[in-house]
Amino acid sequence: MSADDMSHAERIKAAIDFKEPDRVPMFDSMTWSVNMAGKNLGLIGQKVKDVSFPKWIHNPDIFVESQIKALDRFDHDFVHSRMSSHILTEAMGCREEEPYWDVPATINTAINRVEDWKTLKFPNMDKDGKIPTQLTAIRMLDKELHEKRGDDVFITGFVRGAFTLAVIVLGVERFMFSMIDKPDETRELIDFCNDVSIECIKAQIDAGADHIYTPDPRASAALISAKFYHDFALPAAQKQSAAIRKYKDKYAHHYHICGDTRARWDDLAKIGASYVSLDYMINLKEAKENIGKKTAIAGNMSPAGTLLLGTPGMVEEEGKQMIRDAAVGGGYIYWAGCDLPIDCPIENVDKFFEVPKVYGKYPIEI
Amino acid sequence: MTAKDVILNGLADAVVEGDEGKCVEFANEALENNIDAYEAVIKGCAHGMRIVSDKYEKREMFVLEILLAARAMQGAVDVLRPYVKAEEIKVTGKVAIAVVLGDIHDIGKNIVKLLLETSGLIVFDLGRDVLPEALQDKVRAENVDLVALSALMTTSMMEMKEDVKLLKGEFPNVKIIVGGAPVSQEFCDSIGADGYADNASEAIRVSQKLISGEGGKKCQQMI
Repeated sequence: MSADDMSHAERIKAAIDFKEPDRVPMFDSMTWSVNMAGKNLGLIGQKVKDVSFPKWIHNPDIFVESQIKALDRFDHDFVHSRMSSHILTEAMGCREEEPYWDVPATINTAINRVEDWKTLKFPNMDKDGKIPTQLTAIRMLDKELHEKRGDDVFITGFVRGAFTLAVIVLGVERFMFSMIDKPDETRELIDFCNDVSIECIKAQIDAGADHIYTPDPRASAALISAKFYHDFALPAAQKQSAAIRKYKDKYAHHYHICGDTRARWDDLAKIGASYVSLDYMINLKEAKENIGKKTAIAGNMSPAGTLLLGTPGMVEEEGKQMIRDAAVGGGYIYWAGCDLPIDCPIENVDKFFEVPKVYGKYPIEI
Repeated sequence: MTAKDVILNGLADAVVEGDEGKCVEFANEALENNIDAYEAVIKGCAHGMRIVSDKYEKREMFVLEILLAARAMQGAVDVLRPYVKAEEIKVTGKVAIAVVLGDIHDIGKNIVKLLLETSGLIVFDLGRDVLPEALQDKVRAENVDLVALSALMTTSMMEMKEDVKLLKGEFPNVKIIVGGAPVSQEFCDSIGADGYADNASEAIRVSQKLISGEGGKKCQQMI
């Protein structure tokens, strides 16, 4: 099959089903796409922008236009809709800071004791925080791309993994001690966060999202052991994943976890996610031969070392190696190890999305 | 093994296990057996934290276990502190630690701070999203030996370059260590920082090396 014989969705679904599509599917440019807003593209690396990050996320017209410009330029197989680091924390009572040129970040906790989870607000998805804006953006993307263009590109919705959401609303240190001192209440908090996240997921799917990206960075190996992942984070991820797939379909869930995940690959494969994306320090060949046999995987170019600070030549070499290591037999989606740094030079981003079109055609012969 | 060794090892093991109750018990036992309180802190508590730090580096322990160990150790230190003679406490190095401007992710910084403190350094925590001028003021006011900078975001990482330029301009002898997910040895070298560590345990080793070298105050254990 020659490249571009398949539509975006056909390509993604084939890869998730461990079939070889026409070419390696590509995840989207995520928050980097803010550079496609207004005149930002000519201002990469400069302090003053035409469209600031807050302006971008509070104006769905500008936001959606930039996502479509990114899609048209790079032809990745997904488009993104994320409005914040933890879209639900603000709506649950935390405060968010909105930097001029970065993703909004949560700056305080909503509760100080784990047992206070009962006082947490269950957000109204149509009113609270930035959720309504994210839903509007998804509806607009759905209309422009799915309806008007007939393009089945995957619109990506976003919430955090429930474990991570629970850590943010309670605070890292308090949460860590709570797992030891008050495990039952900790599980109740995680479960409440999961219920909130699932409600938000359903709202995004109703708005037109094809799949949901649920990064779970506070469950990473830097913070908790494989045992605590198994006891606390895995059940939450499984519940969230099952809810996503039940409400949409088996292609609808992208789970991401940061750091060195090798010790918990067996558990990651049990989540049930459509695919699991891996951080840059993971050897993709090793991943392909282990977790990659049980679930589709995505990743994992070095975001800072290669995409931000490297050259197009370095991007090309690492991209080729990723395809060489993980693409044969399908079950692989091309992406960075984590979000693309927003100051990546355009030459590197162009090269990043060019590599699968040149070297990622099936059968893989590089 | 002497009774003293049993108590000090027990205290260290209790720190490693993160068992606060046991730590307090061993601390009281140390006092009852006339073990010097400062020695109990150094050879019991701090030794236990060093084991924790090593296990963290080998991925046998994680942030959760470090926090538990620190809480347990604090329980013992609270018991022992009133009995430590002031003249026993050695001169230490001084560190100013901060998450750079534009970044509010402080989990890593807090862990490094904790291990720096338990390794015997006086640590001034400037918090997160810290202005370069605040770093300058602290170095000047406290005669700091080492500045430790953390960044999780690729955007804020670039602030490190400004911080290094400003600090080295005014305090050429102050050492600077950088760390955080996007930071690398190459980046450290490119901005003229003195040291880089890719994990908290390594950060402690590099910090001690930077402080003890080139006429800096030799790093000693402290409470």
